[in-house]
Amino acid sequence: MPSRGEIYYSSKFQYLDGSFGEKLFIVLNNPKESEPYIVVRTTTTEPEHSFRELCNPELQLFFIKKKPNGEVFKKDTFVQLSETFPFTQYDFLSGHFDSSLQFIGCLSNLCLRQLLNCIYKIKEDVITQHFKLIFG
Amino acid sequence: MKLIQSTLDEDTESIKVKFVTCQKPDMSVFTPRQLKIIDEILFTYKEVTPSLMSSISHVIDEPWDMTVRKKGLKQQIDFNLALKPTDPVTPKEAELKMRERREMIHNFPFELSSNAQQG
Repeated sequence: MPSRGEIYYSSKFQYLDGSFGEKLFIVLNNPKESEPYIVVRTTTTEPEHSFRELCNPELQLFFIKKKPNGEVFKKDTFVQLSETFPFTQYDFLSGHFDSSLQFIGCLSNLCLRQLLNCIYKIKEDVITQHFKLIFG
Repeated sequence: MKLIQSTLDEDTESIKVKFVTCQKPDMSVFTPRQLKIIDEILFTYKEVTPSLMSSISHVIDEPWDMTVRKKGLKQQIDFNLALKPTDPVTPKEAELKMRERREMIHNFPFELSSNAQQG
């Protein structure tokens, strides 16, 4: 099952205009049995405001610049921290079996710590029960 | 939630209805900022009558009034009308966030509460 820092790829993400595209999700916790996984999603759309690499708490974004030989993030990627989502084990299992949600890699330990620190900085805007599931 | 019919309001000649919760609410589904906002709203409006509350929400040049003037009665009020030029979020950014949220719920129709998922 998924664990903290793992990145999942959805190839069948449907947008509101009906088209399908790709979406990446990052798992933020190692839940106990029956607890949900808390995930954040990513986007490659640049914000209107200026931003810097890694933590942008004022924009609720975490910017991961693409690396020359980056295996996971092939484009500059913004982790969207404005909302966290609870995925059940069923979501991941059904996504695995119908290939709609696939594991594609992990954040480095350093990047994961930086991401969690960034979420901690905006704890005012994290759902309390999700915050407890992420930070214990 | 229980509805208890109580007294007749003589000013408006309408029946007052009291809402009583039957269960302690799970406030952990909110963020700390949302809880502060709820507290502020409760503090501000706790003594306000429904008729006064209705008047406050229908003030001229505020979202309800702007919607009626632009689209007519009983049309959906655009959330962006609540934004002020001084707010840190632009209408475009707010619209993008709301659209992305709707997309997530469309793709993963989860309950937005971890407790609800635990049954």
